[in-house]
Amino acid sequence: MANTRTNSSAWGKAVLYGIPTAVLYVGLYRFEALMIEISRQGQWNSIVPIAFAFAVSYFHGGFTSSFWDALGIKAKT
Amino acid sequence: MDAASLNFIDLTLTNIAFLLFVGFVGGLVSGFIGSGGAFVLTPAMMSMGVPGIVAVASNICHKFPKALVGAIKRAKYGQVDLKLGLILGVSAEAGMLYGANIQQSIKERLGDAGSNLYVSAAFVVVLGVVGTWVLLDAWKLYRSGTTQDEERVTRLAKWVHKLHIPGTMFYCKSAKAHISWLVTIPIGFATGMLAATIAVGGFVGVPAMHYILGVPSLMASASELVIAFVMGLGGTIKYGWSGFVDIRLAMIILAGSLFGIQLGAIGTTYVKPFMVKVVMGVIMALVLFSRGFVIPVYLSELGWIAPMAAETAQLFKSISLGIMLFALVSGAAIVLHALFGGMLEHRRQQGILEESAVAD
Repeated sequence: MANTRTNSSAWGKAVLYGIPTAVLYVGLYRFEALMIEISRQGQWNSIVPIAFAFAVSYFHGGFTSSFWDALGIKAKT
Repeated sequence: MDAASLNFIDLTLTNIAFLLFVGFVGGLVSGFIGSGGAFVLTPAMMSMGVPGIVAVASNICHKFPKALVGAIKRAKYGQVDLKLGLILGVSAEAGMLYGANIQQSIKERLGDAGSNLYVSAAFVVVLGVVGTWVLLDAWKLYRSGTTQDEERVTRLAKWVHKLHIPGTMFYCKSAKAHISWLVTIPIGFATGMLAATIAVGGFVGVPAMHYILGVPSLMASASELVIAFVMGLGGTIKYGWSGFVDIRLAMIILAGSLFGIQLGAIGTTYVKPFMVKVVMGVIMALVLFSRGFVIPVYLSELGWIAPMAAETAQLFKSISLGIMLFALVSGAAIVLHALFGGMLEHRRQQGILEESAVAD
């Protein structure tokens, strides 16, 4: 019972982190040309790809962690 | 070189799937041994037509978020020494800049073949020395049957712990000793230099933290992720400022590697400490052979040995790439085997404990 509750909570977290992750990746796909242009300009514009990488690591990192948790692949405690 | 003159490639579904796969496997190995997954990504991207400097820049851009996520995950298991990682990270940054300058001057003097020869020779020498040491140590631990026990601190590390240089000491919680930063500076610098040369600074950083500073191997591999984050962020700013980062490539690799790095980090909680050394040693040995195969090709291109037929050179390059991919896949297979084997054993033991509790 407790196990089922833990798994649903992990799936819930996976969805919570997964949605912004998906939005970021879809955004990158939709605005591909613009992102390439900004990256290529360099200098202070490089803050954009670096900030984007930070945002993806936060949300996608949370998603993957919850994803493995939900599948029952957890660290030994 | 101007970023505007470089082509950022068009991405196909096959390219994306390939990068996701290589990213996942690379992440798995990095999560487990602290580094070692990134070295195939640059050649993999270049084989898709990505210009060398864009491949290096995008690889570095995916490394710092990956290292950050891996470090946070392993910090939750109490494996990260943040202070040591940051102290080493600062000197590693300096080593990376110095290493990049050496690379640049070799390229200007000897061209691409000279630069490739330098990288391959560095691989062979460093992996030959460190890899042999790591594998021998893992073998000794295995033979002695003490693999369950805490690892022994080396004589060199004991000497470092006794060393007292006033005004330079700091407490290193993972080594449970005061250490002088005059000892950590060369280690960080060498890690950074190696990262700039072969993209895997951890091949020096992790063994050095373990054998010289006396940090347990699991904590050394976890703290290496902090160094990788500091170096990766510095490298990304440097390349990003010049406009060389292809954010699409970096994010595709990151998508795969974040799944892998979490799995690798979880794997470390199920294995005996000597397994980290086994995986690291095996990968180092295989990569050494991989780079060894292409050295004659570069020597021939430089005219330092007799010219080599184009087919022979291509054959050597293909064998080299094949061995490198094999190194990564076999490393990942060992990690997955250790993870799932450990999980099954843990569940079996939990089951026995629960049964005996019910019987009582």
